[in-house]
Amino acid sequence: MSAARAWRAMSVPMIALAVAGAVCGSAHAAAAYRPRIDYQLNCQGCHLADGSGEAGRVPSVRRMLVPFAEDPAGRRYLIQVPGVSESSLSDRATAAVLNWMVHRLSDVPVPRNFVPFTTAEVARWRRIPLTNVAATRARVQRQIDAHRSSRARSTASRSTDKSPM
Amino acid sequence: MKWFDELAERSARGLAKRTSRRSVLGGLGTLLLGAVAIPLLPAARGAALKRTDDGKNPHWDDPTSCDYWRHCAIDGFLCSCCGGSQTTCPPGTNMSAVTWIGTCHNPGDGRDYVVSYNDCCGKSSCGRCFCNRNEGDTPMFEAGHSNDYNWCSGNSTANIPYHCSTARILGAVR
Amino acid sequence: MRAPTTAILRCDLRGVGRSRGLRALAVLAGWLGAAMLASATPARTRPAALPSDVGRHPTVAVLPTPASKHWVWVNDFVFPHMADGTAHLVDGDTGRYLGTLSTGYSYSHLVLSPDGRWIYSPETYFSRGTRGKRTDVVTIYDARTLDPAGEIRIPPKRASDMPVMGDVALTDDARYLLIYDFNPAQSITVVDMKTRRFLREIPIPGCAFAYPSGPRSFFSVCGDGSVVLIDLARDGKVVRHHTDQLLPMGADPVTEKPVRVGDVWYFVTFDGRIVPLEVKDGRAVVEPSWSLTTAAERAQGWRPGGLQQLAVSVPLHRLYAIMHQGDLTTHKDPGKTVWVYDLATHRKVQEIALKRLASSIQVTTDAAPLLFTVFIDGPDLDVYDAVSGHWLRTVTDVAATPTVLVTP
Ligand code: HEC
Repeated sequence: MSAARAWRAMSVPMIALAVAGAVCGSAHAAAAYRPRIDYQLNCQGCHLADGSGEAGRVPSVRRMLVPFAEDPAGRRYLIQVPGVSESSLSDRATAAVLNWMVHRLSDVPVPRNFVPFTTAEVARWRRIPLTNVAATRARVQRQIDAHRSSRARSTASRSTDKSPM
Repeated sequence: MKWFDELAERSARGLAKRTSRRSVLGGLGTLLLGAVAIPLLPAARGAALKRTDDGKNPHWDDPTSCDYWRHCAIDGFLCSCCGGSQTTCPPGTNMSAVTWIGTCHNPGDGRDYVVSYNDCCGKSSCGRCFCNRNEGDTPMFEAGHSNDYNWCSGNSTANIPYHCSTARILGAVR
Repeated sequence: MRAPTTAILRCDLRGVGRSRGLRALAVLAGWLGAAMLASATPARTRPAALPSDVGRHPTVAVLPTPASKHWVWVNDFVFPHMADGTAHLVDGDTGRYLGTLSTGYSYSHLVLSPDGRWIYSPETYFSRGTRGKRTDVVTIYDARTLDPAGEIRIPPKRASDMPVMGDVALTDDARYLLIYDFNPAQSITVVDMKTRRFLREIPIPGCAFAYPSGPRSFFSVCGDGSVVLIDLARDGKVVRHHTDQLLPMGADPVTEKPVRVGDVWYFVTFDGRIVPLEVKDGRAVVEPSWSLTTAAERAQGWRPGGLQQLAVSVPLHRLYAIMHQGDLTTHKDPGKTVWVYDLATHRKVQEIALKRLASSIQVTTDAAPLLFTVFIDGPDLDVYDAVSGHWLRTVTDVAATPTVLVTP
């Protein structure tokens, strides 16, 4: 499905650009090609093409990516979770895969002011291992929930624009 | 499972050719170990495999052969020999969604493809056409790139009985 | 034995079914009949003595204790029929096949209790053979009778993989059995072998296998080459320490088939580099690596391969490796030669030419060790003198898919 879409968007020169590592504004499709392939080769086997995983075994990332990416501790968790931190992808490719996932696999709309993951950010956190993945995740989730409800309270009077981008 | 004999024979025959490529592999290895912006695909390693003295693989296009190009990192019984095909599971089994994914070189068009090795699960082993090739296969420490796990393990329906393996194309590389 | 009575007796016995009770009855009836016949024909010369099994109740063999150091358990994955996993016990000195364990679906391997009394075997069963509810257990066998003596339920998550020693291990104090789980989330199931209870499941996300490293500690190796050290010592509490990247991964990674001498685990890479990892007191340190091959040998493509590709003799301080020629993608290929190294000097001291391809080797733990070899396609076990390298014997038709070899 999404493979076919990205497939059509690809052309040989664009891929050549991507392979050469050229990052230029016009090569949007090429830039999307590389992380898609990286996701396929390094993540999709467990997380499936749409990120939905396998119930009880591999968690779905579809509803957690955006809320986690919007929270500082959540961002760290996304970088430090073993599937991400221990892959053979470079820091730059890892940042690109995370950004690609946020844009392609999320059920939750990506906010307009989404801050992309950067190479430096991945480099900073990746090599600090999580000692307890489940406990860290639970703590981060609680924190995110708490922020959300307090934000909801404080913005209850204002009408916020929640439309998808 | 005569593959081991064959492989051993192949290794002996094709040795002279392959050793010259080893230095190339060594070079790639260094790149892979270092932090490079674009990691080389496993296919880069697999491309070095040659099956006959003249470098040709006579069975590259036969889905019931271990030498079929898509089988470059498969480990198990070929579903094509078991009532299914390289993309379909045999009747009465179910496909493990969770699996591992690698790349293989297609001599037909000279391109590399992303291959998903989904296992078919829920019955005893098919037992036909055993094949083990390891291009790009990693030790089980790197779970996502290892063909030594029974990927029916990730299937909540069958929950491990392994029948055979498929080799589905997800897309082309380059 | 040429007397007609005996001949009749033999026929009678053969005609009776396989049931123990029936056979016992038949033996008894035959014996009575023989006695009557004998007394009815006093003029004849007495027949020769009856074979010793006649007139006795059929019995079931028990194994002598303690186990010989030259016995070997050949663990059998039975790949064409994975529901029928088995383990075969063979005496390396005589070549005698001593007994079988029947061990369920996708079998990895058994672990022997150090006191020699028990055999611990993590097993998987389905309520309908290959379908239905999955149940995982640790079966405890009596090492003398090979009868199941107990069973401990464990979470149904035991890894189904190409069997390696790291799938199951006992802590050095023999208290905890450690079982690697993969589904594909990764954890270690800990079973208390003293209370014979499932103790806990320790998540090891991104890491694999259990390598014992102390009385109550072990480590697992993670996908990026880091190591997680786990200590169960303090009141059953889990103390965990995650190291930096220590072991090479990537293009020339260490395999998941290391061997241990004391505090040091010897890992080997696809290209034949030995990477010793010393794990002691909750610390892991990589010692300088060395190569199984010279530059000239590497140029000829020599590298280690196979499933249980390394073995050690602690008394001889030697390392054994299955070697073959091929490129990096042949890291699982079997070999027809075993190269032997002095662990102190790292020098190759011997090349043992094998009678046939080997994918697993094991060396017995005593000071005059045997070297066992099997090929994953079975069915024979070869026995060599591990010092001279001389072939001693071949035991035929042992296993369908022999994987790892376990010695007392
Ligand atoms: C071998 C299977 C496997 C592979 C390959 C894999 N993962 Fe995972 N992933 C898991 C499992 C299992 C979990 C649950 C936590 C754990 O046990 O590690 C998980 C958790 C995650 C999570 C956190 C989800 C949550 O809700 O907490 C993210 C994000 C993630 N993986 C991203 C990735 C990315 C990106 C890649 C590729 C670079 C990847 N994973 C590769 C199995 C895998």
